[in-house]
Amino acid sequence: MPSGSTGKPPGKDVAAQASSTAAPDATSSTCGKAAPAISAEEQKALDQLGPLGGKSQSDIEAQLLVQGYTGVKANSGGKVFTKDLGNGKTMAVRLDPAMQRNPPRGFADEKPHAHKESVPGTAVSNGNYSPASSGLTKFDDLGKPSSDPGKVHIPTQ
Amino acid sequence: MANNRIELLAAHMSAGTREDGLAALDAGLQAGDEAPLSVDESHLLTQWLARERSAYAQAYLWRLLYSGPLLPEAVNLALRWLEELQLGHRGAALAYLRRHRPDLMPRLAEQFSRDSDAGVRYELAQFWLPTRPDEAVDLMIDALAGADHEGFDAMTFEICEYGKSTHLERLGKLDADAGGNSGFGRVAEALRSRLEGD
Repeated sequence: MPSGSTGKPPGKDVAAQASSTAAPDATSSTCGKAAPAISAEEQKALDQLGPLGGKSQSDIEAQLLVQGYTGVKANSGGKVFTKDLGNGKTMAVRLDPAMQRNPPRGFADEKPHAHKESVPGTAVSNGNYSPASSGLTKFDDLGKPSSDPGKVHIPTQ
Repeated sequence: MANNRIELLAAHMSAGTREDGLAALDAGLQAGDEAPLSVDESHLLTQWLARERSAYAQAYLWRLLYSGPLLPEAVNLALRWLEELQLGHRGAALAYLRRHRPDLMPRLAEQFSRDSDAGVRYELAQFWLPTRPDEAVDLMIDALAGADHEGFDAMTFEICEYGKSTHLERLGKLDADAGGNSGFGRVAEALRSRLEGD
């Protein structure tokens, strides 16, 4: 089943995936297309991150620093943590505050959340990168590539 | 004034400490762990924002003002901010006005209809969404290329929710023009999944 094909508005049912600890499956497909290939280095970094859902952002930040990530404050608020994987890719975790949507629509970004992403190292400048970057891969909390906005917003405290 | 949280934060000598304090206060307010901001606190926030130069601090000052009470001086600051095309967070200024002075929006929507700032375009799209949803989605697609992470993610949700097959086609063309595997393509994938699930 393609992600997000439940007929529900995207991003409004994230609790189930946030608490799961199933092993990442790099062969899964996204929306009928082959999922982006994940390098061994990316897979190792994803495994090391483990599930982030439900954790406090300060605990995640401490974990990232131990794992060798470097953090910067994002101009739009929140923080971006990156780690060069040594293969031309950079692993990134973004910690964002709740989106102030008017009116609230119940999307997953309306709570504090984290993102797991990888980007080509060439896209990274001063510890951050454009969300429109070519070659950016978004992951759900299980470490699977996903384009479902609900799944790539990982709820935090 | 002894319990004015903004006064206490502003008194810190370290910019980093002040910024971290603003972010923590914002998180506490969002979580309901902090009491809503008072008029006095919003008054100080407005003064602080008018002189603050850190983009990160500005982001949180706007967020805090947004969640506080209506303040005429903050409305004036937002209107001036919106006119300064070189400033960041112009979308946040418009968000403040859309929330606290919705009566101004028809005029502002007309005045800034051709604005290229992604944050401004997002807020204009929110204004148009109830009455002109197709145009609002097009406006958000226009804004994707220049959006920051927060804006890009917010628009992904809303394009997914309100987009139609014509928008999917447009996103596909933009992705192809960008060489493929671009941000447009990722939003297209999310919209395609929703449309196939309907």
